[in-house]
Amino acid sequence: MSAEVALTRGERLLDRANAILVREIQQALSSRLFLATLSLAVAAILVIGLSVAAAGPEAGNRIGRAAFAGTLSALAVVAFLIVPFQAFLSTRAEVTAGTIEHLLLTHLTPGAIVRGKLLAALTQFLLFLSLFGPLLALTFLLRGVDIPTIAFFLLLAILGCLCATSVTVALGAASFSPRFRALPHLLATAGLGFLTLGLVVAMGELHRLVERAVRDGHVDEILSALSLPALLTLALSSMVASSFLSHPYENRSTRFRLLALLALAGGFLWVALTTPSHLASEVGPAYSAAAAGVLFLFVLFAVTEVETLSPRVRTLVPRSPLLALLAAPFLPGGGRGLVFAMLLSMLGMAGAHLYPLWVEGAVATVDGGRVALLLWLYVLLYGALGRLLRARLADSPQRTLLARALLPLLLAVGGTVPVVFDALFGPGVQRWHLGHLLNPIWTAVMIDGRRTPASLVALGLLAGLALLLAVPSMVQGIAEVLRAAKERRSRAR
Amino acid sequence: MSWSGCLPRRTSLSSALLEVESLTRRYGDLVAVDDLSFSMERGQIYGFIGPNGAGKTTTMRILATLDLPDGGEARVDGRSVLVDPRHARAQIGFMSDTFLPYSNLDVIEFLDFFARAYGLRGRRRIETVRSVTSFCGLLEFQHRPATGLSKGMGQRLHLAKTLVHDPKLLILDEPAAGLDPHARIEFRELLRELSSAGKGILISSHILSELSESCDGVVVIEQGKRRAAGTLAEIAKEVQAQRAVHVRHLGDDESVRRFFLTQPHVDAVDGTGGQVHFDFSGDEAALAALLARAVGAGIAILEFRQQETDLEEIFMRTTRGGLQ
Repeated sequence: MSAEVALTRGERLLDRANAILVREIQQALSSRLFLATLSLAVAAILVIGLSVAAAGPEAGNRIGRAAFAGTLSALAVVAFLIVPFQAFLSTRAEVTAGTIEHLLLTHLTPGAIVRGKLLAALTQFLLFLSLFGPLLALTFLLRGVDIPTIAFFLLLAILGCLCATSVTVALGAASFSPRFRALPHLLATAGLGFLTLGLVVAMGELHRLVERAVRDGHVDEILSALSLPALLTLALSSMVASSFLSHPYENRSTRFRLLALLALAGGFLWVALTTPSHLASEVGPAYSAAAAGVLFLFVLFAVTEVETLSPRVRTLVPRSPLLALLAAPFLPGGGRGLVFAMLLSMLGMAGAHLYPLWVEGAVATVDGGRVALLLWLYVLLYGALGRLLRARLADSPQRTLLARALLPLLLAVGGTVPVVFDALFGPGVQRWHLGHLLNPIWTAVMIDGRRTPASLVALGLLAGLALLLAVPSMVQGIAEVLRAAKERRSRAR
Repeated sequence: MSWSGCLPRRTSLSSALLEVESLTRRYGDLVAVDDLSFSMERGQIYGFIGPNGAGKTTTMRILATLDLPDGGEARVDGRSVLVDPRHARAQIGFMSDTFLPYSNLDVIEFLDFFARAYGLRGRRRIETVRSVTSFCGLLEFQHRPATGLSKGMGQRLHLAKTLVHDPKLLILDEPAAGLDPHARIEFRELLRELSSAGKGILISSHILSELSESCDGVVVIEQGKRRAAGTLAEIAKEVQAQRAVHVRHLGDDESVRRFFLTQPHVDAVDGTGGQVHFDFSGDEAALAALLARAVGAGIAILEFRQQETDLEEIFMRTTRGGLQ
């Protein structure tokens, strides 16, 4: 065995890097797709550069602006089409060939695999960006564009590339079932294709909008309004990808539940930082109501999970009864998922009413406060109905899918049937009545701001009843966690 | 400490390397693994045999931490694969029945990637990759594309990948499937070397003659249940309650057959052309007495022997051959 092994500087640099990052870059650099993309990028640079040269100095900032739009369009193709699609193909190949299982036997966790792919995408994008660097500098020198605009677009391009890659990695990871393999492929191809096409077509207009925002000093708001949902999508799709790569018996719920709570709380913070404080009594409840609509998706998944703890999760339950009790709403299982939904709803309702007090020292507007309360009550009502529905189905992944499809169907049917009935057989859709109680949109639209509306009372009663019926499931879920904690304590002894 | 440091020597620790206790795995109503228990020691090669769909791959995947049981326990080197999967993964090298290396990587880059993934750093990583490449006979193919190897070389690459983190227990699912006889013999030699270096090897195969030549023991399963487990000698003894006896004689076939049919403990007498074989359920003394009675009855016996019980015989006797 030779001990004369010397590491080159490059090897030392890469020694501690994520293994997936190193391999993806190695593979990408020796692939035909990379060579083709590189050739096209060089061709695009030449075309744009020659166009600028041909236009001559008299064209001034007009040609500078056109060159900037052209450069951004070329970068959009790389950031939103080529790099994410390569990540999709690589993940899909690993999942379909079973290579992913070999990776999971190593020190790499599903999260590390996804991170490696995102870092590889970022590295590839930065590589291409460095190619286009001189062209971007040229557009600045031609006075077609200023530095803040360039920085704004580059930041969004990087974030967009990561975001699109995380979504395609999740789609690639979802390709495990041979029966549904075509669907992720179609979604990735069509989604990236339309997104890139839309960006290329609208690039000139986007440029003008951003310039105006920079001039008017609104760039912070626009940047945060675009980047926060992008970061949330990035986190969510990375978690989805990690979940697809994990065994169904692993804990795949806790991180989603924590993300929902953090997103709700972080959203209030973002609203506080970006809106004038005198608007707090309107903005706070409005944000809370919007969050109820978005976070219902998390509740839908939480309450329809299989009730029992898997053997692996049982080994992860804290030994201390108090810690186990606190952890219970965040552990997998539908009953515990409903407890989590109650926590989330309480935070949402409290936020809607306490946020204006905290920021403005005023109470929430009556209408806004009631709409937020109403929508969180709907989250609880449908969460409890989802739990009751799932509890009546057998413990299998197919039944979980069925419950997740039936609950939105119930929402759609409960919402549309009374409306259609009123339109066809009644006086028309003009007023609210008890038949509309399952319809969150119509109920919120028709809420009466002056006195406590009957809809809110009826909804409160209905949600309370549904929760009451689901109490055994919640108690059972928490008791199971406490039993697992006890088992772990006795095993440790 | 390099990977090859453990070759060739046999460690002599006494505790079991692999212990499987009442392992159960259900898929809906189907019980794929049913209350399965067995154990094996360091440095042993154990064959894991059973008909298609018997639950071999499911069991191996559970041991490799790729699947989880609904009940029971499995320990590698004294630690539970269920409670402490990270520790188990560090001790286990799993070679699955399917393997597709990455495109656009050569052999050495492929192994280097897995060495990185197993957390090997710096010189240790480079030395380890070199060692496993050399051990698996891949040195002259190291710059070939990993996807461009023959089936035999591909299996060597798969084995090299499995060995890169120097595991104590190798779980090999049908590693010899599709290999030509030459490649199979070479592969068997590699396994022997690994076993003599103290590694435990649990290997499933349908080529029973292969296993019988290299295994210290076997576990036979069918419909998820254990039918037999232990060293070949132990199982042979267990299944030989009904031993097969072969007799070569110079007498008349019909009268010799009739003689044996009238003897105690004898069943299923058959044969022609001066040869008779039958099942015998008595002990060794009864068998000696039978031979004496046959000679005493005037049968000219040229050969009287108990047939050797090989792995195929064990397999056929312990399994029922029902649809899985």
